[in-house]
Amino acid sequence: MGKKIFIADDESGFVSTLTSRLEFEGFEVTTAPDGKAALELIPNEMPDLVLLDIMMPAVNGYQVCRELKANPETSSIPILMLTAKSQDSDKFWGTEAGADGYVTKPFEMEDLIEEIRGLLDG
Amino acid sequence: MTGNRTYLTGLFVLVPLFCLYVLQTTAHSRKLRAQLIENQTKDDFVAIVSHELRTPLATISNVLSNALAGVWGELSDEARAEFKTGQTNAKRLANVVSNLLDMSTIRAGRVSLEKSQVDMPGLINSVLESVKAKAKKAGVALEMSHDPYLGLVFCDPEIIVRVVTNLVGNAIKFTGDGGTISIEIQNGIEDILISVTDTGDGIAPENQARIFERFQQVDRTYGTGEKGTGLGLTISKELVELHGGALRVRSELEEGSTFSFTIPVYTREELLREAVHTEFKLCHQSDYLSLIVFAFKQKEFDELQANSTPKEWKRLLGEVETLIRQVGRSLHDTVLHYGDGRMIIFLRDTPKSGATAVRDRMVSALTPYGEQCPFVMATISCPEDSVTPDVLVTDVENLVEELANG
Repeated sequence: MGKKIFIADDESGFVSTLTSRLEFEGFEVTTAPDGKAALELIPNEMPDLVLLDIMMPAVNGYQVCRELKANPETSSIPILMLTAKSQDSDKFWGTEAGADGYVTKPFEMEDLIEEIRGLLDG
Repeated sequence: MTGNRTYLTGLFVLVPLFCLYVLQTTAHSRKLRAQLIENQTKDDFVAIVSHELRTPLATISNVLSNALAGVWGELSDEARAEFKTGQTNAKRLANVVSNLLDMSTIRAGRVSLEKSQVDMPGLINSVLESVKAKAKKAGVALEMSHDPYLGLVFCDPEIIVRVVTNLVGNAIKFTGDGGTISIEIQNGIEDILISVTDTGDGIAPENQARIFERFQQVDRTYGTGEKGTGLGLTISKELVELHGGALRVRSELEEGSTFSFTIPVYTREELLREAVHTEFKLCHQSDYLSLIVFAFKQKEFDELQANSTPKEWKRLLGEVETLIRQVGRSLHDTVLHYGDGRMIIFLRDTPKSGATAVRDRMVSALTPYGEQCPFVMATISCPEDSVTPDVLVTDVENLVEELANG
């Protein structure tokens, strides 16, 4: 069984391209279109890693990250923030919220996969 | 009667004055509001562009990368070549978008420089290390030289890395196989000069001013055939100017080009003022800024300097600084060297009580060193001790002297 990756992002096209590639690389992928759904699904799914978009409707990525890290059951799941922003203040708030890593869109798919493997091994 | 007249005259004077006051305040607040809206629009623009352009671009790049990785089966050589072209162009577009964003961030005054005292040769070596492979591929040699006595340079290291990477990257692009790129760091009276010289084809005199304008790529023979965004030099120039320096070019056809920029050198007083104001801008959550002042007692420090080699007391200072940094809460805490045996540690978003606790921890970590050379430490905070940043600067200057001289 491949490791389980959870993607929370509201851009369906982006999510589908990412899912195809991660499945091709041997991962098992589950997705959610917004932060609220992510918070409901993740404690049941218990993935090995979460890819989290920041700008999502209803509950944003920072809030999801903070809640997952506050919950003892999910706090050890590594979280990689995906963002279209690259301002330092966003990185600051991401780190404050407890994210384990940061990737700015657009990224090289190979770099993202390497980052994911690094977090899973670590 | 006289009373009435005085009353009336008073009214005649007061009513227009009051109207004038009301008019002025409304005009003032309207101007303020307009300014606020304008800034807001600029901020929104950056946010919208970054999200609305980057997300679809990420999707396009993913599709191309997936196809090339064989997600949908093996590709024919022809299809592979076409997808590669698509990927190269998507990458170029991504560069343009991020450069445009940089421009707009700079123009909107939203770049906050995170300045610290930087070892310039070390910083430039790290840039050369990162472009080594690219230079080798282009058949270009890289060299660096510097004046023997260079002090630390007060600048934002990440931004200077970007500027030097851009200048060296351009030089590699425009220097043919067998050429050389030399980087030189020189001490000036008021600034430090960093120049990047290539042995490329040079830039015609009529084009030399144009290259700093946006989207200008003048005819230069490409070394590696790579095409840029036409924004790199404009951004570099603005980033150097944000530091109070200047970026210039000197070039001759057939001879090569030298791009050089300056970073101001500060006196000790200017440095402190600059550091205090920089740190205030970097406070994220509050208006609190605390400083911990560290000084060896001057008399004992003079004795130590007289009785030991410079290598010995520099090692001592190095060890003390390492311990101070370890006790400091995060990497964001800046340590400013303020003359021999004196340091100022900046704690952002930290009120007096927090700073005192950090100082106490530092004092106990440093106790073993007190025997070799007695030190003193004190905290000073804004706004608790010094009401404004400017007052803080003066207070710190006095405090350092007071501490060192007992």
